[in-house]
Amino acid sequence: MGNREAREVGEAREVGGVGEAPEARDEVLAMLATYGERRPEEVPESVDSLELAWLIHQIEQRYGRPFDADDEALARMTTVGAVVDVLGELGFGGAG
Amino acid sequence: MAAGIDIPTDPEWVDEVLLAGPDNQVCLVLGEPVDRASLRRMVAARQEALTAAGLRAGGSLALCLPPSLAFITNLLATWRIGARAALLDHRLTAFEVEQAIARLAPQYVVRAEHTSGGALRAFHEVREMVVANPDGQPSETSHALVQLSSGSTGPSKAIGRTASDLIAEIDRYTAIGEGVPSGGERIVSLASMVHVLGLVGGLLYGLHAGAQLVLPGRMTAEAILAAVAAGPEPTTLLGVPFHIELLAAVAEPPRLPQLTGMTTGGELVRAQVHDAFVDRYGIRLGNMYGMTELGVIATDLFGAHRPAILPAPGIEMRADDGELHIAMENSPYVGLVDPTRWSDGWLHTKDAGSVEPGTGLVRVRGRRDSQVSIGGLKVDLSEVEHTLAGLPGVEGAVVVYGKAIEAYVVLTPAASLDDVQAGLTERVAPYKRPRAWHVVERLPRTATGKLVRDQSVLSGAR
Repeated sequence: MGNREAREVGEAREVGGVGEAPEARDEVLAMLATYGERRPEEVPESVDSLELAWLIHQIEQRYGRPFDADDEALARMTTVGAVVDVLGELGFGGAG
Repeated sequence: MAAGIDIPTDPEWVDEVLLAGPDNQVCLVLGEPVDRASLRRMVAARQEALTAAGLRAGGSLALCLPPSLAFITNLLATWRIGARAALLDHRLTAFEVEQAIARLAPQYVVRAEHTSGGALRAFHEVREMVVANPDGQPSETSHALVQLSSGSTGPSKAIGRTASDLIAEIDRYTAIGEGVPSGGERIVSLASMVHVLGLVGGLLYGLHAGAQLVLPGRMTAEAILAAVAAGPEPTTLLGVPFHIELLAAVAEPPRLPQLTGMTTGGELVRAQVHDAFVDRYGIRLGNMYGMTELGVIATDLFGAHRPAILPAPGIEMRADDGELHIAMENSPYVGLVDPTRWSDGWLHTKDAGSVEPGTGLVRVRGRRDSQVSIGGLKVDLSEVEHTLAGLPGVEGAVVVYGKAIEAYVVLTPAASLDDVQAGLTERVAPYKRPRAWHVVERLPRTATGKLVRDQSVLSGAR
């Protein structure tokens, strides 16, 4: 509206890391959105510990196998972009 | 001044109320089982170390440790010495810890020198270190425990509890009876032992009753259910509403005949989540209402009164001008006289609510201040807002809670949001930080100039 300079800002604004498939990102956002009945666009870029616990269960249900990430990988999963990277490394992701 | 009930209590209470029991009785399971003889030995070793560092009866110490065997043994050792322990959540930032130490002036701080374990760990392996605080003061009160609660402005509230007050809470759990785990049973606790529900309802009550306290390997649905499945004894889950949501989302949970019920503290979950949980697990789902100041206050452990709760034995509640008040002999606050929080023998909960004449059933209808609960952790939005507004580059700020904590900020022309976010990250713990940020040209105000916090008005300013 007009020349208002209001900006909508998530906590991290880059969308997608290097080589990150947009569909993998959409999939993570869709899984996170089921927590708290949000729309995917309402999911912030940062992932807190409650969301991470929720997400791990969603991943396991979706792929039907345990998500056996080690502490180091879990510790990295603090943003949607990082989650997509870790899922890719562990062979989760894509269309499922 | 003293809190709750103030009867001078000998440090012997730790042995009598918490540590007594058969040598070979497993009382804790943090990965490995710990029996009472081992626990007594570890507590004695920590007592020796803390004494060697200089801690004495009437002294003061702050524990800044994640949930761990080290947390438990240092806490019990401090009490066994007759000193006061202040608990600082390990998720606080260095800035917040520094402020807390300046406020509480403990003589010693126990910190983690090394921690193993990472994201989603329910407990950690910790090697602790004791650091003397040159500005520390002995305890001026008879409190055994001090916990901090965030305040809207100025210093945070320090809440003190005496040993006799803690024993009274343990006795209250015993008196509630049905729905509370008995000796020989297991408590799988998902509630942080740094806060009152996990500390007294899980750790201290479990030690007292001879109910095994079990922490899952990780805070994931699978690990929680595996912890339940790991023993044949009747098992109760203790957690916060988030854990109900997490477990209700498990489509086909394993058969868990030993799981008898789940009890959560905090706000009620939505009816559909409650029903999904009961449907999946076929067990009782109970709710508790409590406060750091007093511990457990009222319960509905079988979902029989939902959404109402019944005051625990010995607890007297009334509604005063729509606010719930609880009879409490002494103010629980250390070094603070605030008649809006405690006056004339009544603790003011800041929760809106009503008490039904005749039945005594209580309805809790939400906060009357700016406190919200994030995964069971209390966050005062006005504290976050106050901190944010005080950062360089911020002209004005409003912090509200919708589906998450959100910040509306007005920046000075040269300021960058990244710098402001980094500034807040230094000052407030992760769970208190806004999840969504809206940079606006101006904040909406009422005709009298007060900041508007109504979300529909705020989103119109975007």
